[in-house]
Amino acid sequence: MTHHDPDLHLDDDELLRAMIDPSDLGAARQAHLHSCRHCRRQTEALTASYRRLGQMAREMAPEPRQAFRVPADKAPGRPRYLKPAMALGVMGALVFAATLWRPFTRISPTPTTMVAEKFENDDQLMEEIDALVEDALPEKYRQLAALPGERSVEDLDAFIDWVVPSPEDTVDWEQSGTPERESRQGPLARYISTDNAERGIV
Amino acid sequence: MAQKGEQAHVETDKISIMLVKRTEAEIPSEAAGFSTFDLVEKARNGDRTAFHRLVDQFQPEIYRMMFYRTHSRMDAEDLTQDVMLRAYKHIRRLKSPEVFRSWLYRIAVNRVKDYYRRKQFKSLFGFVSMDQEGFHETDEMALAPEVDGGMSKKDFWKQIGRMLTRLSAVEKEVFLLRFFDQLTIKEMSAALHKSESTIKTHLYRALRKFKAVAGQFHGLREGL
Repeated sequence: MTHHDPDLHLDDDELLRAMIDPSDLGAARQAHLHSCRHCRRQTEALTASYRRLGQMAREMAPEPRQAFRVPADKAPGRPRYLKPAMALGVMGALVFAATLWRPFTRISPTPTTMVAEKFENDDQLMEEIDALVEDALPEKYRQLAALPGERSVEDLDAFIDWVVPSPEDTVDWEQSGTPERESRQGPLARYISTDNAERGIV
Repeated sequence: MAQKGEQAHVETDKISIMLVKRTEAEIPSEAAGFSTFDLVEKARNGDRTAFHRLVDQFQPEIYRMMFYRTHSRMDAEDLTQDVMLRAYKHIRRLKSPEVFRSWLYRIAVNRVKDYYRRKQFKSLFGFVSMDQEGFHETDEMALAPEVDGGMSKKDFWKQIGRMLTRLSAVEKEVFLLRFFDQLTIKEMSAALHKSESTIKTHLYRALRKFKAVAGQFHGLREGL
C-alpha cells in the first residue's frame, strides 16, 4: 500500500483492513489514517455498523429459559483418594468372587456312568475307524475289487465268462434250444452247466 | 480486577477508534465484587458456587452463540448445557484463568461442529433434514413483534441466514465470533486454534463478501 498517494483516502478494502487491525496497513496508509479525519470517521462508521449488527443479533435472539446447574453426581468436591479406593474395592471383590467360583467349577460332579459310557463310545468309534482304515469298501464290493491273487483262478474265470460268454457256449445253447435255463438261472448257470458236463457231472 | 480485556485501539488526534469493545469490566460478576479470574480459580479448586457464578455470567452469551448457529432454541439450550457441563468437568485442565472465555468458546465451537456432524450423519439415513446453511423459522420468531424500525426477528434472521450462506464455513465462523459474539482477534485465535494472521485473513474475506451482499438486503443495507 506504500505506492498510494499519501493524500489519497483509504479505499473500501483498506477501510476493512483498518477495521480489523490498523497495523496491517502499510506505514504510509497508517500515517494517512492517523492524520486524515475523513478516513478515521469512515473507519469508525464501519466499525459502528458491524457493532450495531451484533447488537441487533443479540436483541433478536431469545433468552435462555433455564439456568444450568451442576448435576449433584458430577460434583468434583469428592475427595480425590475416593476414586482409586473405590476401584481397588471393586477389583478386590472381583478377585474374591473369582476365587470362590473356581472350586465350585472344579468339583461340579460328572456322573461315573456317563464317563464310562463316554469311554465305551470312544473305543467303539476307534474300532470303526480302524476297520475303515483297513478296508474302506463295503462288504458287497470287496469281492469285486479284490486283487487277482486274493481269489481263486476258477472264480476269476467264471466271473470273466459270465461277463463275456464264449461264442461256442452260445452256439450250443442255440442248438440245444434250451434258453429257458439261462433265463431262469442267468448267464452264470450256462457256465456251470457246461463245466459240469465237461467234468461228467449231471 | 487487574486483568483487563484486550483493548486494541488506534490513537488518533481526537478520536480513538475502539476496535475491541469488550472488556472484563463489562462482565456482570465484577459488579458483584467477583472477578472472572477469581471465580475461575475457585472453580478450578472445586468450588461449585464459583462455577455457578461463571455460568450465570457466560450462559446467556454461549446460548446466543449456539442460537446464531443452530437457529433452534431447543438445540441451543441443549448445546449450552453440554458446553457448561463439559467446562465443569474439565475446568481443572485449564492452565490459565485469563483464557477462560476463549476456552469456553473453543468448547462451544467444537460442540457446534459435533452437532452438525451428527445432523449430517442422521440426514444420510433420513432421520433429519439437513439445513445447515439455511434458515428455519421457529414459532417464537414467527410470533415475534417487529423491532428496530419495522424489521421482525423472522426477517432479520432470514436475511442474516441468506447472507451467511455466501461465506465459507470458516469465514462464517470468524464473522460470527467477531461481530455477533464480540470476541477479540486474540480470543478467536485461541478458540479456533488458528494464528491471528489466519483469523484476520478469513475475517477480511468474510467482510468483503458480506459487504458485497449486504446492500441487497433491506434493513441491513443502511448500516453496512
